[in-house]
Amino acid sequence: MLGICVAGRCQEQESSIEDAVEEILATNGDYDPAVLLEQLSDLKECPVHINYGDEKENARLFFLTEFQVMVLTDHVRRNGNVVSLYELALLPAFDRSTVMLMAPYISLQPSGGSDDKRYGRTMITMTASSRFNTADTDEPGARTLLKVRHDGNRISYGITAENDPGEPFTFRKAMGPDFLSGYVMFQGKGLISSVIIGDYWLRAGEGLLFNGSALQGSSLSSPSFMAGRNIASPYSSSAETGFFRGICLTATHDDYHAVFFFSYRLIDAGVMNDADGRACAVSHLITGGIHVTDYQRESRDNLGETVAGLRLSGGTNHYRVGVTSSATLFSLPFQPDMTVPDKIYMFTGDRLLNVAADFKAGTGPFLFFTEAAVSLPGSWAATAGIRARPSPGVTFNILARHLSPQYYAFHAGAFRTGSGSGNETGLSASLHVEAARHLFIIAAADHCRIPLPRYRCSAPSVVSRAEIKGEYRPHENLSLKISYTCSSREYDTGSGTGTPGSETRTRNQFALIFSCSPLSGLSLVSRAAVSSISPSGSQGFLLCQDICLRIRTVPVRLWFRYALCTTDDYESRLYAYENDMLSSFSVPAMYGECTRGSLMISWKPFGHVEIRAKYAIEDMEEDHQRVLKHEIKGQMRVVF
Amino acid sequence: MLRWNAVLFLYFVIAPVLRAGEPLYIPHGAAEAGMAYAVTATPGHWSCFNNQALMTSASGVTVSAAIETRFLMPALSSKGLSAVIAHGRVPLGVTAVHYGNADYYRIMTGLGSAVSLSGGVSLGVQADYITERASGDYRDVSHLTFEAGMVCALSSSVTLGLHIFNPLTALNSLPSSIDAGLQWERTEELLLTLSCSKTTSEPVSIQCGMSWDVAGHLTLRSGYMTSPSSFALGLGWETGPLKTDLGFIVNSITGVTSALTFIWTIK
Repeated sequence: MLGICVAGRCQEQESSIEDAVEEILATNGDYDPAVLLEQLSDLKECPVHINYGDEKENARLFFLTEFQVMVLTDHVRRNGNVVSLYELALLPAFDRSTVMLMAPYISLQPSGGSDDKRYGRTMITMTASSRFNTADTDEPGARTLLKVRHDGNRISYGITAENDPGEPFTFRKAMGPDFLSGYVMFQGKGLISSVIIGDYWLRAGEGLLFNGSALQGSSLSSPSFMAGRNIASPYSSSAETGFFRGICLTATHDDYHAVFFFSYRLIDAGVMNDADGRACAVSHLITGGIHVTDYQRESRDNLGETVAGLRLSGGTNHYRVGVTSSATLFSLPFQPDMTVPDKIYMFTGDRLLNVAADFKAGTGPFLFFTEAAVSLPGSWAATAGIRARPSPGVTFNILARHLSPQYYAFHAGAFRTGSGSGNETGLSASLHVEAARHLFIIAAADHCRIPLPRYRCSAPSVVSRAEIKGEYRPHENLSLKISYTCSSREYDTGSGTGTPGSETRTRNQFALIFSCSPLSGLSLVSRAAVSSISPSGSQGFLLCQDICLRIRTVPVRLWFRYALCTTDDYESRLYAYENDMLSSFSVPAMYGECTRGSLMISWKPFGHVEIRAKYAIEDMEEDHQRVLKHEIKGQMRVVF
Repeated sequence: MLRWNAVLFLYFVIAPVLRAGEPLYIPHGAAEAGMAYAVTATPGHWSCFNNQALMTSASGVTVSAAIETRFLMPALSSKGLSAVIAHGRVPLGVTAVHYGNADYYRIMTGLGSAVSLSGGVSLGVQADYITERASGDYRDVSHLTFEAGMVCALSSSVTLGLHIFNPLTALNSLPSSIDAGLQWERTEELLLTLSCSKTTSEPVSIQCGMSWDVAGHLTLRSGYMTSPSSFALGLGWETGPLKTDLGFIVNSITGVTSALTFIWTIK
């Protein structure tokens, strides 16, 4: 009935998420997949042992909802070990798409007899990478990343240290690396179920107030538009925004949970000075996390953000209710530039109070979820949806949302089309159908109205997206995926004085991915993509071949990629997810006349050590200017 | 086999000369609206007037009243009455629809029938009389035209439907339209539909719909059409001989179109 496999593939993470990321990046330049992809990468390396029947362990699959975690745990406790992914898809609240999403991140290793968790698991990852090119457009230097992580039964801790290219490693008024993050987590078995000191992220309800990992907002063809379960989790990503720094305490009694948190963090912001040259206000936040130019260094840590909050939730197997509240205090007031159209409704002031209430109900074939939130100062937002499974093999999702332009939440991550927390009213729906044996079809559409100006559009506008995807997987070593995506947005036209005109730009993209494994240890992925932009008429074409070779006699694995791309301009650029270092990701944008090749090797000299090296070369020509880029990466990981 | 060949021959001879514009016949039925009008192959009272061949799946006598308000503007509302009499081998359908207001209105009346051929194939045809009246100095016009449909059961669960409206564009200057659709009865409770339609001077529209019989008396529906790009939502409630359907079509630019239908079944 299903065509699910966990076998090694050319794409190290054989997941629909990577496909989705390529499409979203092509249509939404604001989207930053770093946190999500790093979290998934961590899960891939430490897969969830679902046969332990441990709810906390299963809850590490952060994209699952509370209902799904509960159903999965109950199934293992009642029926014993899961031996095949096939049986997971038959569980209530699960479907084939969800299981495909989980597949790379779970282990079916039988429970019992394992003492993996007795002493915990420590992982040290050191990565260095550098880029060289003939046009000097990239900052010289190397990116270095150190990640240390220990997961124990009661105590876990982690450190992340990162320097982007050009950022100095210094102890002068600094902690050494440019970005340093860490946490210690205590997990208890009594009333206090966890305490996190250091950096952490939160997800509550449907994400109108807090969601540090907006998986469900990443793709229209996600198995569900519901946010995952409520989470207070340590933060270990190298992305320098979107987390809290302080303490977070979770108390649990039966089905009732309370989360108390406090955070104080310095964040990058553009400041305005008074007549004496002292900072008196903030004009905007800076989220790139790069501190290389003078302006970037001056903007660093200019704003103090203090957040204190509380979440209470509880319910039964059939419904769950939660209330979330937070108070935010900034060290400087926000004073955005009101002469810019897309800034006129931005947050002003230095204090923000948020309150949200969420509700989920249903079992098996029908789930209803909703959340409403208000911000003071500001306005309100609400989102509601249904996930229905009217028959086996058919899943239907629908979600309606209204996010007022003046609704403010700085850590929101609800399902939506644009970025930010407000200024959107929309409706989305998707249908997942097992149309025939081995043939799976997903159709999805999203319409939203942006009532006030947004970036690059000075008038109310409309955004629409539609996706159709088909997958034929007759054998676990053979699959053919076809996708068509159409996305249209309105943008300003003309650069003169006066009110700009508006133009709807539509991007059509068709992609075909064929993957097979003709021999044991050898995997091939061929990819072709075409993009077309109207009304400019710009077009792009991409051909890409991936080869993955696992040599059984020596502990070596090789990945090779060769890609050819021709596009008329940057607008019709194409993306192709590329295998990369552990806990890292690469989704290069290809445009102009572009040829890209990469070779990556993984060597495991001992059971606990893995060494990776990657070399990529890219030859790109745009506007008669040719740029040759080289990329070198090296990594060592020790696990004990 | 001969009938099959005749049907296909007629279709392929007529189809190339067809032209397709805004359909004069505004599709009706809240159940149909809830599925974004992806009903070319889906049986239902008002579907019979979207594809006359579907009358062969009707039984008994059904009478219906329907109202649809485009973008919630009364001046753009249409009111319809219809009946399908399916007592004998040859069913009969009659419909009258009023669209507009006192200053401008259009009345469309139709009389149609259908016949079942062997091999799961049905054919239907309807004669339409269309009257258009406007206040002021504008000339009132009337047209006589026809529409036809075919339904073919491809398998026990998949049905194909084809429909053409006014293939006489060259003669009467009215726009014409062509629809082709599939219905997949995945289970007794769940219907999935897909349609493609082209109207003169309009872009091709693809519609898909879903109807889910949740609890015997309650039906939930949803759908999507590409042109104009809109979502559709609906529900139906059946109590004894009376069936009530409610449908909404949501367009992010023009707003919400609502539809309400009452269908009374007389045994």
